[in-house]
Amino acid sequence: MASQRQIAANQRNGAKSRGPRSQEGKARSRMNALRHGLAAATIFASDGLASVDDSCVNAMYQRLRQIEVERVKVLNDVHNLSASQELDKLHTAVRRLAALERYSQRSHSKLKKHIF
Amino acid sequence: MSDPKPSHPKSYPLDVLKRLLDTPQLLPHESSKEFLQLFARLEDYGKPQNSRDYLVVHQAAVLTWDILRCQGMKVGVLRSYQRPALESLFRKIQVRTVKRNGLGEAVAQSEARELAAPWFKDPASRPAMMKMIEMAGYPPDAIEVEAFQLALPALAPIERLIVSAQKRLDRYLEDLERTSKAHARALRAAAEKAIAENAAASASRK
Repeated sequence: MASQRQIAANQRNGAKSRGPRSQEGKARSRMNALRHGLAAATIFASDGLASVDDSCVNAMYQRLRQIEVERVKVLNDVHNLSASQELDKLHTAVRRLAALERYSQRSHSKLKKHIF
Repeated sequence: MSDPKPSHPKSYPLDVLKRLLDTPQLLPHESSKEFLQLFARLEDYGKPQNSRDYLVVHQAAVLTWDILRCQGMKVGVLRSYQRPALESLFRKIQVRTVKRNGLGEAVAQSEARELAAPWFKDPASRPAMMKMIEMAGYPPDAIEVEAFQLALPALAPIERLIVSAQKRLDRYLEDLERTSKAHARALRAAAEKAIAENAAASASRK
């Protein structure tokens, strides 16, 4: 267990850090919490930059394709797991399938808003 | 396993449609022949006239396939819960017995596991086990009911997927029906016009 002096020193040292400073570092750290990006409000193109207008529609198509690829993978997992006795994994895969369906519907309605 | 790629002598108004039908997005154990049969059935039903109609038919085929796939998934999930269901039933039966004998629930659990094992190893033992379950006061379909109850958390999301796909499919089918009726009306109007023109021409000749 850390002593009071150590805790105070850690806090002092921690306060000196103000996170990334360069544009490149900020752009990189922006992606830190990104897991798969399928549910993200901002759509990122493959180059990592937020896209606008026409490229936004392309990025949405790209995301929908990505969701579909992931869905096929999970469907296959569900099929294989239902033949086994790994019920926890099966349950997780089914929940993932439902989540992908939600992402897909959300992306479809965003795409509709952009097109019409 | 998927069937070998079938050839499509038929031509479609869009290249993308041909590509979609040549390589349908199916799972390794699904048959592309069956998917194409489904597409052909829907094509017969919708009688597509232009590229848009063809795309609607394709979407309807994909959604119908998805619904069938989800139904199969439900059966698979229920099947995978058979063993836990049987163990759960035996545990319930054993708990009553061991409580009478003053033993713990852990004993009942391990005994239930042992009792359930022959069901899957030796199908000949099933009638005797069913008799045991019925003797304990459970109905003949107790295993299915128990499996359904245990699988419910996994079945509910699948059911929601089916409902969602069904709604989208209904919209596409309504669209197909509308366009099909519109084509039929246009065809009838064109035929009536041609008959009227023919009649007028023959009247003027007289």
